[in-house]
Order: sequence, then structure tokens, then C-alpha cells
Amino acid sequence: MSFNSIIFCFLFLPIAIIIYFFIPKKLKNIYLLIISILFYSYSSIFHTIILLLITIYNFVAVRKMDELQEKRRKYKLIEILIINIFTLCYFKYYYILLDNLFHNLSFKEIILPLGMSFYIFTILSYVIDVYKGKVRSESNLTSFGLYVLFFPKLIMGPIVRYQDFNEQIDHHDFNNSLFHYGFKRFIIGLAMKVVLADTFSRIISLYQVDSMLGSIVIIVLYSMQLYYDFAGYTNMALGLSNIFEFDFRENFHYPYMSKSVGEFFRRWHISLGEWFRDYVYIPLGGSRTTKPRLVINLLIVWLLTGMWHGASYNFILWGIFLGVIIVIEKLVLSKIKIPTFVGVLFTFICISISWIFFFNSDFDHITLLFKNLVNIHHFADDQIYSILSNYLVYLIVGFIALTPVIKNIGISIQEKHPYLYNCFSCIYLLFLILLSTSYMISYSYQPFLYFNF
Amino acid sequence: MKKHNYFIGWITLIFLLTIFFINFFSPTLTFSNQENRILASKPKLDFDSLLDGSYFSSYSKYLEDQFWNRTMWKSFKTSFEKKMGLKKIDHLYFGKDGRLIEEAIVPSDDFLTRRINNLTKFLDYYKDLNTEFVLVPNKIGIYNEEIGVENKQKEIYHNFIKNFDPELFKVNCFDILNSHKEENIFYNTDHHYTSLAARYISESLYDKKEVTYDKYIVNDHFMGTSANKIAYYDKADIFELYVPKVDVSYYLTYSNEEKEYTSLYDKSKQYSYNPYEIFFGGNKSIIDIRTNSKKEEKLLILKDSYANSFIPFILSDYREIIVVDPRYYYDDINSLIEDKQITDILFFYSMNTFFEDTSLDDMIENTEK
Repeated sequence: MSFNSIIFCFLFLPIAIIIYFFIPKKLKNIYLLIISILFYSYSSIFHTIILLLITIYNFVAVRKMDELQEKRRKYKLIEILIINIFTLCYFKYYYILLDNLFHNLSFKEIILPLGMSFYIFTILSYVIDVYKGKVRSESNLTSFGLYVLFFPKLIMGPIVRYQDFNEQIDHHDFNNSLFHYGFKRFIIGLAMKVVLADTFSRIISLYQVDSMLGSIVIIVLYSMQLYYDFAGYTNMALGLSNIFEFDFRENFHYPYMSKSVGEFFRRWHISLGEWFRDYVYIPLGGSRTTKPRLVINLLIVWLLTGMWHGASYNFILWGIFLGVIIVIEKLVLSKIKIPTFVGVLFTFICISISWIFFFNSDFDHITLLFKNLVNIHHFADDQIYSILSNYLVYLIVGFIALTPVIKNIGISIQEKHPYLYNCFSCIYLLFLILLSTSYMISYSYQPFLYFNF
Repeated sequence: MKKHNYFIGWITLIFLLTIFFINFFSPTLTFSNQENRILASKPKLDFDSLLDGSYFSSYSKYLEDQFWNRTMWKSFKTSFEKKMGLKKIDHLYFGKDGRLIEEAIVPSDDFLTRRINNLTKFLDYYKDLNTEFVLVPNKIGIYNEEIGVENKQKEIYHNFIKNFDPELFKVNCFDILNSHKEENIFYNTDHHYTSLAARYISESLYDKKEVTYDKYIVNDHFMGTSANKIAYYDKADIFELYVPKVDVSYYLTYSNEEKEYTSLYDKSKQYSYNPYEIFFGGNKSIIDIRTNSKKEEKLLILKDSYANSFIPFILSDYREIIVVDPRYYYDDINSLIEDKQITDILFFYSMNTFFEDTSLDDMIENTEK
């Protein structure tokens, strides 16, 4: 069930919230666990069983590990890591690997359970943190289950650390401020997803790239679509967490304002970047090492980041492309003083180009986009002019909302006229939820008019 | 993090709950007139559908289809986007005075090659018959300038007819309709042209100098397919009917049914969601019209729905008119031509259907000869 579906917004969510209000405090965690399982089982009962088995196995295994002494503890850690990583690899890569290696043979497709990359990484961070003694193993299965399965973050993150979750798990006093803020975030996230991201996605699907300008517009649209899709979904996830009295750290912080690609990924999907930093990059030696080793570390991290995003080769290319740019930044560009504007533009261009690999698994289409990108002899085509003129408002709004301009204006009004700000933002948010609903309904509005012709 | 303490949480929750209750207590609808389709009904819960996930996906579809006032929400989005400056939504341009203009269909090279080959073969086989093509431009072929786009339909038309004997394309509908473009020749809210436009075309094909017409208003609040497609209900059309005052009687049969009808108008459709179905009750695979005209010719019309409003004007010009819509006709067309001793063939299409629909090719390719 996705957050931007009718069934979630107008059935699951209001009922879940109302019951949550009236349920006794001591039952709130078990209630959240049950609705999280219900939420997940919407996608597949079979995958829900897998998720529950993984959760129970890790709960028991980590408890066991925590009781063991040094060497046996390490063996247990390795066993848990292998089982988790093997499970992820089996579902994520096994079928694609077989399919690529043996074109002629047919295999039964293995479908990746929804959110598996996220919940396995959540579990891995917990396992390693317990092993390192940063946190104690959880003794309550409900609490651990809720940590893994809490529905707002289950499908697309953020990847929350156990320590951050555990601090809040028993604080179920109604927080009025957090409740309203949660709805605000949810509405903004919903609008980012259904009004902007889905519109950009539709424009991309309508256009066949046929010129230099067309190619440029498409990669800019990739940048905006992915941001509004993912950051919108994350906003909804964080907003829903707030409504249910959890408050997690930000996962996006105006990434397109970054002055370098390295900085971009400290502001984009922050929880994943921190995961790779803490559990891969630093254990490999981090940046306090020799230059050749640093290069290898960075390339390993980015190769793994690419592979985490998807099983096809284009994600590996995406990871390597970014890894190489970050290596260049670390070794060369970090020594040069670059004006902010140039840095932001450079980052935007690099990131936008990288999305070509991210979005396209078809090598011919990747080639077509790159060829058109440098095709100065055919600057523009009719269709791209038509798209630009028709969707100009979406593009302008899309660009503005990549920056903190609207937020800053809001803050300055709030400081000077708090009452006015509250009234205005209330109307604005109400309009956004109505607008988002109209977009959600519109996608299901499918006139069947053929036989009228 | 700034925390804001105002009422948005409660307002949103009340909004979500209100919609939930309205949806819950609203009666289940079976058909959407605006979308012209059957709406999803509540799925039955059983173990298998629960296990394979189909129950939830069906339930989700059911909730979407039964959402309170779906058309109003779609309409809200369309109005918002129009106010935001969008000139085109879902392949429909906003023209002047509420005119909704469909995009021109641009055929692929493969489509054109197939169409030209098939027609060449067909025309060659029936070279002894009087054959004519009437390709009617859609609104975009006449009103392209008001939305600032080039006239692709005109270009497509001229490129297409180059491949054939010009005698087959004696009637240039672009010229006819352009000379009447200030009149009510297209419905603003529908993709069809009007009875008046069909009359003008018939007058250029046949000698109608002495014919006069009765004018009837069928429906004065007509919201057509284009308006329904994007739920944009700015200004309703008036559906007018021109009926020639000619001394001809006729009867007709539909799709090889035995029942004979004495009128080609189905008055039950007058106030329906699609009054255009007043002609023959909508599209039929085959219609056989026999008249008491003194003429001897027997005409075969291969057509789309644009021909429906044209046929009333030519009843007195033929002894028999066989109307075939290749989209629904699966029998052998050659046998039909021979059995009915057809003397004339008329291809009558709107440009967008002619250059998109492949059923005409399928029909020709599936003939035995």
C-alpha cells in the first residue's frame, strides 16, 4: 500500500489514527505493530511471512549473540550477517543474475519483497550496533518487531538506527505540536509526490528524445521527478511517524543546493549515506588512509551503493560514475576554491547526468540520451517546445521548490506575523490536500471513449 | 525543527474521515456515464484472493472507482491546471470560447505504408466501381491557428493523397469547413463535427441546390466526449439536427438483424449522455438502408462515426446504401460487394480515426481475394 493511494489516505490512515487515539497507552506499541503488519500484508501475504520470519530470526539470533563471549560472539555476528545479506541477495540479484547468464533458459521469477533493501539494512545496523556494544539487544519482541516493521518507514525508509527508535518507543503521550507538524509534512509530501513527481514522470513518458534541448530537459526532469518522488515519500513517512508520536531525523535537506557531489549525498537520502559511511566506509579505513586506499574505499562504497539501488547493470554504472566524480572531488577539486554558484551548477549537472544511468536500463536509450546531449546540430524539436510551453508552471514551481526560498519566506512571515502565518499556512495546506486528492482521483479516471468514435 | 501549533492536523483528519464516511455510506455505482465504463464493484473475500494479493488490489480499485464525486475531483484538477496556464491536458487543447481541440494523430511510416498498400490493392481490384474518399479534418485541422500550432492534418492529408488518383479525393473538406469556420460546424465539447458540417460536405458531393432543410434541436445541454475526458464543463453545446426535405422513404436493418426500422434516428438517445447516438443508435457493424429513390446506384460506405450524421443527407441519391464500420465488421468485404452488387464505394472518415485505426487494413487483408 503506498501512501499516495486512495485506500491508504481515505481508509487505512483515518481509521488507524482514530483507533490509536483511543487505545490504552500500554497497548499502543502492539497496536502499531499489528497495523504495520496489516499495511505490509496488503502487498503480499507471502512476503509478509518472509518479513516476519526475518524479524523473529534476527530478534532471537541477536539475543543469543549478546549472551556469547568474544570469539563465539563474532562467529554468531558473521552468521547473522551472512543470513541477512544472503536473503537480500537471493531476492534481489539471484533471478536477474540467472536471467542474464542463461538467456535461453526460463526461470521462475523471484519477486523482491517490498522494502526489503530498507528493512534488511535497518536490521544490519541493529546487529552491528549490538555487536559493537553501542546498544543493548532488545528483549521485547514487540518493540523489536515495531522497530523493523513500523509502517511509515518500512517501504522506503528512512533507515532509522535502533538507538534513535528505542529512545522514543515508550513515549506515547499525545504531542499536539508533533501531531500537527506530522500532518503538515504528510500533506506537503503527498503534494510533492502526486502533483509534481507524477506530472514530471508523465512528461518524461510522453516525450521521445530527439534533440539536444530535449535531452537536457529530460535529464532535468529526471532530477526533479526523483527528488519529488523520494523526498515527497520521505516527507510522508516522517509526517506519519510524527502523527504516531515518533520523530526521526531528516532524510533530505535541499540536496540540489549542494556545492559538490559529495555534499549532495550528505543531503540526499541521508540515512543511507550515513549507513554506508558507518558500516562500510569507516570500517574500510575511511579517509584517514593512503590516497590509493582512499580511492579504493570510495569506489567500493559507491559500487555497493549502486548495487543497493538495483540489480541491473545500470545501477552499477551509476554508482561507478558517482564514485569517480567523488574521487576527483576529493583528490583534485577540494584544493581549488570554487564559487558557490559554479559549485551548485557543477553538482546539478553531474547529478542530473548520473540519473541517466539510474533511470534507464536500456543501453540504447542511454546512448541516445548522451548522443543528443552533445548534438549541437539539432538543438531543439517541436515536441520539446510544446512540452516546455505547456508545462512551464510545473517546471518553475519544481525549480523553486528545490531551493529553501519558500521555507525562508515562511519563516520570515512567521517571525513577523505569526497569526497571519498560521492562518495562511492552514489554508495553503488545506488547498494542497484537496489538490492532491484531485490528482489521485484523476489518475484513476480512465474514460473509455473509443466506441464513441 | 520548528513545531507549529495550529489546526491543520484536526482539519485534515476530519477531511479524511468525512470522505471515508461519505464513501462508506454512498450507494455503489455500477456505471460511469462520464467515463463510459463499468465501475469496479466490491470484491468477494476468499482465501485464494487474499493469499495472492488480488483481493486488496481489487478492493483498492473499487475504492477508487466508487470515490465520492469522482468527476468533480477530476474537474477540479483540470480547472486548476488550466488556470496555471496549461494549454493542453490529456491530448486536448483549450481553444477559444470553450472549444476543446483534440491533438492531431500523426501516423507512423509503417502505418502509412500498410494503409497505402492495402488501399492500392483494394482500389485496383475494384477499379470499375465509382470510388471516392471523404476525409474530414478534426477541429485541429480547422482551428489550429487559435491554439498556435501548425496544421499537421493538412500536411498529412496532402502527403497521403499524393499516392492516389486525385479523382478519388474530389472533395476537399479542409476548404469546405474553412469557408464555414465561423459557424457551428464542430461541437466544442465533443470530438464530432455537427450535422451542419455534414450537410455542407454533402452539398459539395451531390447536387443539393434545390434541397431545403428542417432544423431540430435535439439537446440543448450537450456535453460531449472531449468534455467528459477531462471533466471540463465550461459551456454546453446545442445539438442540432438538419433533416433534408426530400421525397424519399426508406427502411433499414442493423447488423443482419431481421427487424426492419423506418427511421435512422433513435430518439431514445436524445437526452442520453451521448446524443450523437441518435444516428442509428450508435455505431453498428453493418447497416443496410433501402430507399425508394429513382436512382439505381448501390453505395457501400466504409466509415467511422463521422459518416453517421452525413448519411441522412444522401438517402435520396441511392437505391441502397450499405454502411460498414470495419472496427466491428468481421465478414468478408469482397463477398458483400459482390452479393449486394455494389456500384459505388465511399470511404468516409474523420482524419484522426483514419490515420490511427487499423481495422480498415485488417478488413482488406483478411479478404479472400
